Amino acid sequence: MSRGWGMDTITDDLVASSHGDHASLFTAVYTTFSPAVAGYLRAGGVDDPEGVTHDVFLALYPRLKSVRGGAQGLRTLIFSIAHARYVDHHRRRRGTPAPVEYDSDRDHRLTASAEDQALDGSPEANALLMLEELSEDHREVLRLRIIAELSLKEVAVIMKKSPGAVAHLQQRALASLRNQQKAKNGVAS
Amino acid sequence: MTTRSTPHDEQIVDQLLLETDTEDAAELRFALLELRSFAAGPPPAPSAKLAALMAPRLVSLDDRRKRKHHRAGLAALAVAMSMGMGSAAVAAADPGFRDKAQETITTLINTVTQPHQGHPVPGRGNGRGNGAQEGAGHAPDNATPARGAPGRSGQENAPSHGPGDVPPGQETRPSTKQGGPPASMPAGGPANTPALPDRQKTENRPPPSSPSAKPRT
Repeated sequence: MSRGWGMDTITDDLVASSHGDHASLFTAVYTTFSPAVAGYLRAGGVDDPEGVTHDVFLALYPRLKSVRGGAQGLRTLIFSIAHARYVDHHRRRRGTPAPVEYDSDRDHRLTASAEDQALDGSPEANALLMLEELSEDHREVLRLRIIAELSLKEVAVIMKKSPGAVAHLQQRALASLRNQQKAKNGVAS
Repeated sequence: MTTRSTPHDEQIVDQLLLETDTEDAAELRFALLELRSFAAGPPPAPSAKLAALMAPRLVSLDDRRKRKHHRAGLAALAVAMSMGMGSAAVAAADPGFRDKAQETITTLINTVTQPHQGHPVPGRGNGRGNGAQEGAGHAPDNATPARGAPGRSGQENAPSHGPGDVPPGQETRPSTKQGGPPASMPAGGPANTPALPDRQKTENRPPPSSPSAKPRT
């Protein structure tokens, strides 16, 4: 997979020279990677994706000098932190009783908000619906491959699985998506 | 429904489909491009903690520490140099030190020139050569006479004469009073030189020679 996303800004030389101007490198790293980190957390159903994104980069800051592997090594480190935060978030949520939220769909006094109208049919809303049909591992493999732009080996390191196991998960996830699309098209037709 | 996918987004999705041999699935490709839309968007506004970390700092702690060590070395070197220069200046400016140095030099010169000046030259009255040598205007560098030195003539301390100013034999006559007046004193006044013989009390005595005159050998 090509590594073009954000690489124009964050180069291997820039990462290697991080021992000099630490603040400017950190600013460039945040500007380059924070949209994808926030999107990864949003796609993972994290309640406060922006706040967790901040936590990810606060955890990254003291480790910025010890990054190995250039810009791609930096990307792997960032998403390994984000993956850990995502896992912690869902672990906490499972441990605490889920609060019952106000369901506006059951309130017939209201009409659709502008946000609902904007999200209806949006790519992100469709993708969330699509991911709900998959298992947790399948979702995580697709998020890390598509949103985080990581290779098979890097995903395997982050998920603490072998590359073969991740390749198998990836294959099964795409097969499930394909079946899902076929079923949707069959119902639609 | 349209997705705002870029060529780079399509490249990522196509690469994944190529790896899994599912590149012919158009519906799957479209669904993955929708998932890819999560990566787009502006960066979230940084929190206060993040903004503080992003603020540029002019000097890092490591640089400041290195510069501090460097500055301490320079300061130590400057202090050592100034102490050496100061002690030399104090020694040179101290009047006592200068007097002692001058006295030491004077003693050395007197010691060196003592054997030549100590011998009286009573028989030089007819010496034209000696008169010519003395008349050349040379005088000892140390104009201070050694008082009481035997054979030291008053004319030695007195200003020298030019050739032909003094009759032969007059300059070789020893002084009757040992230890004549110092060269710093004008030797021409009769009141200043009461012990001099009458022949030496000449009023037309020339002014004293410079202290840099060469001593008579």
